[in-house]
Amino acid sequence: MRFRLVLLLLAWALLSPKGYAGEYAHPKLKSKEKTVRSLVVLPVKAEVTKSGVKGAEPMMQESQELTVQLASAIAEALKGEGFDVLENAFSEEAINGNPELQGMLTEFQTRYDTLAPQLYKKPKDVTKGRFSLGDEVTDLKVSDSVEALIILRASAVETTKAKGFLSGGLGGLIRSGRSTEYYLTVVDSHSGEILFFANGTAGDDVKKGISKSLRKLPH
Amino acid sequence: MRRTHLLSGLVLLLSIALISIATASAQQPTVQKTPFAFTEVDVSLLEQVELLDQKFQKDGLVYNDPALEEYLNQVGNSVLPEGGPPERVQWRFRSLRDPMANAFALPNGSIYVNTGLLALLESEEQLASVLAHEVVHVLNRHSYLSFRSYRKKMVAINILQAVGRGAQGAGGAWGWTLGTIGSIVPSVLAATISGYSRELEKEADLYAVNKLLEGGYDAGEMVSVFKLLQREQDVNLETIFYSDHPKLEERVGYVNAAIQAKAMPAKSPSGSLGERRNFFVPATENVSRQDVSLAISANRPRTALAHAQKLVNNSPDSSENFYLLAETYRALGPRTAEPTSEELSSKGKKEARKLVANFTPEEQEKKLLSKPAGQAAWQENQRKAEESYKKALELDSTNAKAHRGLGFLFEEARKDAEAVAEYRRYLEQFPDAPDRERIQRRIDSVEKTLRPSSEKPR
Repeated sequence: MRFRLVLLLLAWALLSPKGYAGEYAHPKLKSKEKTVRSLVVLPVKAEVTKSGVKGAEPMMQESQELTVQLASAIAEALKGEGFDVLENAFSEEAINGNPELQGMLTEFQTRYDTLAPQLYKKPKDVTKGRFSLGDEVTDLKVSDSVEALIILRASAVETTKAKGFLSGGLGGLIRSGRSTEYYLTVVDSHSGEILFFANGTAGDDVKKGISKSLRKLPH
Repeated sequence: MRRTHLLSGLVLLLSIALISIATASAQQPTVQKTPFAFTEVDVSLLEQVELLDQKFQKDGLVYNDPALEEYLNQVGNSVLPEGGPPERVQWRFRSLRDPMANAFALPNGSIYVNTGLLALLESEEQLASVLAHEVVHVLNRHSYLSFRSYRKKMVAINILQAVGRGAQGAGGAWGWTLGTIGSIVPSVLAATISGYSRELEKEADLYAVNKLLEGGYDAGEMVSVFKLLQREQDVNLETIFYSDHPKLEERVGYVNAAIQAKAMPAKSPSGSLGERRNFFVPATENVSRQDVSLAISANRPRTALAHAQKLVNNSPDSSENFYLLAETYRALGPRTAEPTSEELSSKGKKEARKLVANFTPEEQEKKLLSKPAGQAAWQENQRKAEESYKKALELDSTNAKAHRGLGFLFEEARKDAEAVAEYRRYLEQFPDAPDRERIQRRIDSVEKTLRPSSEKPR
């Protein structure tokens, strides 16, 4: 009996799904009424938190590293899929040297963060054309040739082995380490409509998850 | 069977012992009686905090206005204690772009006041009371103490949860009892973490009273700050400043008692202080304007309206302020300027939270517009917005943005011909407008479907 229980636990720990992924496209993209060939990536927001027996702690250095990694990974993945990517439009230098751009970007990000709870809750509604950030998006003064903006948010938790064991026994111990949730949104740079949304959970290789999601972006 | 019960009983006793240790060691962290000694955990927290400071700057979240920063530092320095800063502290007073009315202190001496709070405050005394309150969190190392306490409690919580899960696995009545304890007690302990903060907040309030009186400020203005925060501009959002704080009545009570207990200050407000009092409004005007735009973007139109009205009251000859007032009335849409008594009831608040949680801002507007009260509010807000845009133009006929605002307003009201006319006036007056493309698209779109004027919204 005990042996069967141990086997069952091991199987559950090893065979548990590593994550989920979903990609949702606006009807205009699916029907080719709208095409996206060139994009610009807005500043990525990523955070890493350590989850240990003594509670959650921020990991600022790791958050910064993940932000940089994801910014470069998403640009690479887009180019790999044949998209044109406008670089440096929202680099640190460009933003810090332009208070007006800084203000408009903050307002735009605020508008996105206000909409995000509904978007993350029912991403399937993207396929009904439900979500839009409004045509104020053009105030970001992105080049006329750019058709869409990409917004990427990621949240990673690094669970220590001790916490993993306390939370989930042997299975928890095996699954300890980093787990990252990401949310990728493509916004029409003229109308503000949300054209595409992808979300997923990845282990150590979140770049792979994002690349996989971008392959499903119609173009 | 007997052996299982014996083991479960031992686990239960261990759980009770852990709870007692965790709560006893974490209670009553009042004034530090012994000098604070940094531990490895504290240094690690400090490192994270330094990086957080840099991140705020890098992400463009800090509102960079040299004049405002100088003013904040002047007022902040006036509420610092004599002598140099404590170990590993460098005092910095800054504003963060955030429409929530909040202020916070990092343990390295960086004190941030959100644009939302600066826009809400009315005087230098009120600002001084907020900064003094935050200063003591740094002086008395509250962040480090809170973090240490949090870590101790989390150990107990995690162990208890694991015990609860294990006991449930063991089965039988004992397993069920321990499982229940394992799930309930962590919540109880978690609640003591926020209870811990209330003691420290009271300490911060009482320090602030002393500093205000020493500096010749009117300490009663502290109570005004509590009341400002309490007033709910948006029923569906909570003010962060309050989440770990004692209740309003309790705060007003002990602050008033502390003011009465103190003797009158030896010095009366100095000439320089009297002069500085006139600086508050001009020093915070730009940041308040920025906050109105942020509040609109964050779907907090009532907060935006209150701040815009305050701007107009302080500077009634400013075209820019009337333009912002008009923008907030337009953003208000089908909402009344102040929450109704029905909205402020617990049923009303629940409904408002559901609306925000389940619907996009556009959908929320449509739902409100479907009711007669919403339509009436919309009509009134349209009227006030038009009035304010026109006042802005009366004060400054070159304020092109007011023409754009009228364009948006008329388009919403399906007054298409008037909308196109205002959009064109905007582009004529401001040929290099950054949103030229957007406005031109709107003109093209409206002209395609030019209809007779109508009073109803889209």
